[in-house]
Amino acid sequence: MARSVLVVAVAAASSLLIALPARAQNVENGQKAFKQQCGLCHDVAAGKNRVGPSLFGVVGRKAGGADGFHYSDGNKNSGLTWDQATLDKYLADPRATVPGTTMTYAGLKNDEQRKDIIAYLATLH
Amino acid sequence: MRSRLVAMSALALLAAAAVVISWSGSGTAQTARHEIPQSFVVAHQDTLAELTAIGKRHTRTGLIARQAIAAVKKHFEREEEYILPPLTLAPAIANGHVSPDMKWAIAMADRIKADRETIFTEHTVITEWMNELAAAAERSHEADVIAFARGAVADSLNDTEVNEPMAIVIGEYLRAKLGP
Repeated sequence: MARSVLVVAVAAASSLLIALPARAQNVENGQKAFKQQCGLCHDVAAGKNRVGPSLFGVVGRKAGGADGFHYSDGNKNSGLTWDQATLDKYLADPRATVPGTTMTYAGLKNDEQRKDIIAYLATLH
Repeated sequence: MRSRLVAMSALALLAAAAVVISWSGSGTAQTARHEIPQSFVVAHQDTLAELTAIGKRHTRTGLIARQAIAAVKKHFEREEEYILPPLTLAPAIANGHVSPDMKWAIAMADRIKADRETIFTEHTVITEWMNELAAAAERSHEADVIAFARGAVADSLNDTEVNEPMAIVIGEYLRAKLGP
């Protein structure tokens, strides 16, 4: 019994060691992609809205929820919460996911880059 | 015989002249352009001048600016043709003045409504160029180019949030006051 617990623990620790650098890599790539794709309109500092709302704490936030930012009706009334799956869909095709959004962005078609950007956004808390 | 020939030539010339006058007249009617608010004239001139100046740089930003200018010009032409002219009527309407000679703005507003998705797509194309321009400018530390790109995306949002809906509102108001 003790031996099997040890095996499971070692396996878990190994997978964590493999996963951690991969995740760090995602975040680093995501930060770069964010700068290129989103950084012109969005700031990541808390409360600093520009043409787009601040994305500090966006993961887990309700759509239309950044303080002091004037949202489109489409965004405010979407009823969405920005979890990772919803963000992925939105970043791929904003206008299809939130009709009436005023975000003039055609969408990011590269799945890996979207995943990386979301991994980066998840660190902003 | 000779006088008949002269008379026929004169008639032919008159007919040709009439055709030319009629063609240019209808052409003028079809392409009649209305003015746009002076603030937009200046804004468009300044934007194109700045983008052209960036385009002359022997840098990556210069290359991107040269490519982006076509998309910006195309959008400005559309704006000047039928998106911005109705806004020239805003001060008069705000002062309670409506007259039948304002009816042209109704057709323009209808055209904006019909073309909304195309217009929005043009904004997204410009945003993509500005993202690319700003990313290159950040690498080469060209702060003025980043400021330009920020201004351009803010203008796009201003068009989407205010100018295009306002032009439609003006058209709808005129329709309600003047009839279709």
